Amino acid sequence: MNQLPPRAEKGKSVVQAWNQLVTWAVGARILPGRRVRLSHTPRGTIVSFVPDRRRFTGAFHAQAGDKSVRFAFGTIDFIEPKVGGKPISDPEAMLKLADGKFDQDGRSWLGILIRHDDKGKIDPEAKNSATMVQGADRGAGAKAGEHFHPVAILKKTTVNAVETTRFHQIEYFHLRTAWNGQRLFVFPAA
Amino acid sequence: MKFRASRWNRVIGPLSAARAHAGKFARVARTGAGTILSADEDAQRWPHPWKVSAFWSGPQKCWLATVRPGFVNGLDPTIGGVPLLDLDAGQGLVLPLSAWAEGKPPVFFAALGVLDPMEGFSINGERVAIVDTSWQDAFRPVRRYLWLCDIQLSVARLGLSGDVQIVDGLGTSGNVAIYSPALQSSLVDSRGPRAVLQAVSRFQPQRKPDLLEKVLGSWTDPQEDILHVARVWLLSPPGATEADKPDQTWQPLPQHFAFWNLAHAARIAKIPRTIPPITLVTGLAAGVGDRINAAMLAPMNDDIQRVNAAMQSVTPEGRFWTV
Repeated sequence: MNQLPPRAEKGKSVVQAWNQLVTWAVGARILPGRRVRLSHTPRGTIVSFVPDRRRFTGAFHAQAGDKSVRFAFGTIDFIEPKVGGKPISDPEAMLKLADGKFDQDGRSWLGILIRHDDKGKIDPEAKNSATMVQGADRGAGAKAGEHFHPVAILKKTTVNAVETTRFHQIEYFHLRTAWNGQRLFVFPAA
Repeated sequence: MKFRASRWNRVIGPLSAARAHAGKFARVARTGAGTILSADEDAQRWPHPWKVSAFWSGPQKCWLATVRPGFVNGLDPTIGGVPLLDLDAGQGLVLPLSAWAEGKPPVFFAALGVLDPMEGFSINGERVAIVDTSWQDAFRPVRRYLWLCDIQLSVARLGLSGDVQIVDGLGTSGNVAIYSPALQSSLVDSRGPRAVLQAVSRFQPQRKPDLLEKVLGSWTDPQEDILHVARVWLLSPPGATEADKPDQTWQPLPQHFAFWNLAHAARIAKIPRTIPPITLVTGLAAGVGDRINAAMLAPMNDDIQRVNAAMQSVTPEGRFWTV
């Protein structure tokens, strides 16, 4: 937009070029735009980019704490699962992570334990119709009349001799179920 | 005041170098009041499951692809026998690339200068590209080539084979067909429940067998269900020749077909102790030759339709769905 003034020539006035340089210098000031933070110092300007916190998370998004995990609001057949008797959207609803619930490869599954009758129906009034649990396998020890649907997976990895646990989200949708006479199927709720 | 021209010019040079330019994930807007730096919103694309990144491996001298972990039935698939979550950084799929040779390229690539491979002609056996005058603009490429590779998910399931016997039901003509299905589990046994990510030069959807193939036993069940996850396009630099092979100067452009984690279920989850044969009273004649004839006349034969429906009902083919 603003052009740098031309190179000076010996014996010619630089007043006009000077004015042009001032205009150019004003235009060259760095201003912060979206998600940019500037720190002006005598030696220069530090430009930082502010990460966007509004990332898509979806239903049942698992947020890991040190030894517990919280889940974003989600429903299965319009029933909100519970943790410790509280709906998962309750700020105090946290699932404590157990070290013993990892398989030999360092994997652990977090999911919904659904309890249903012999026709696949989930009782919305029952206290434990859908609860968040941790399991050392994909079935999380589900018995007859129960179905475990994983929503996140934890994986222990060792980086530079330090063991860390990483979260991987599996489920992003509210859910519904269908029964085919033998087993329960879980689908996104449109 | 006198001001030396050389001093002035020494200032102009560094000032020009101080001009802000857009780098990675940055946008620059110049105004009279200043230069506005912004983060590129497009760079905040959601890193979805199955997101493919392709890169040139210098040591291996080939294109590799890494896949952001996705899950099938809550399990991460394997690449080369190693589960995705256990892979080391930089480990990926070796891409068996093949040249685009299917008529007009997708519109996106046509706009970048990729021409229909059939637009060339041969002189003394060598293909020569037609010079398209619309591409003679100095700022646009003359010709670019396109290679591709597909990435698919494969889940092992029980396979089905079967034998049809025609029994002389009335003592005069064969009119009782007995179909005895048998299930195979070799792939399930060797692979287990984990899906496998594979790179193939071109994705081929699985073909469903027709009735004749089933009756004659000429169809082999692949014992797997496959899903097209992504296609990696490699775009040549402008001015490439047909003989050029993709190297680090080419540009990878992944195209995705799966964005969410998946569930998979086969119609037959486990082998039952006994599989009862399907018995149908039909108008089929005895003997293989008669079976073929009957199958060819299927559209006109209600009995054949019944046989077809019965045999299709015992397919172990599974389904993928998003979770």
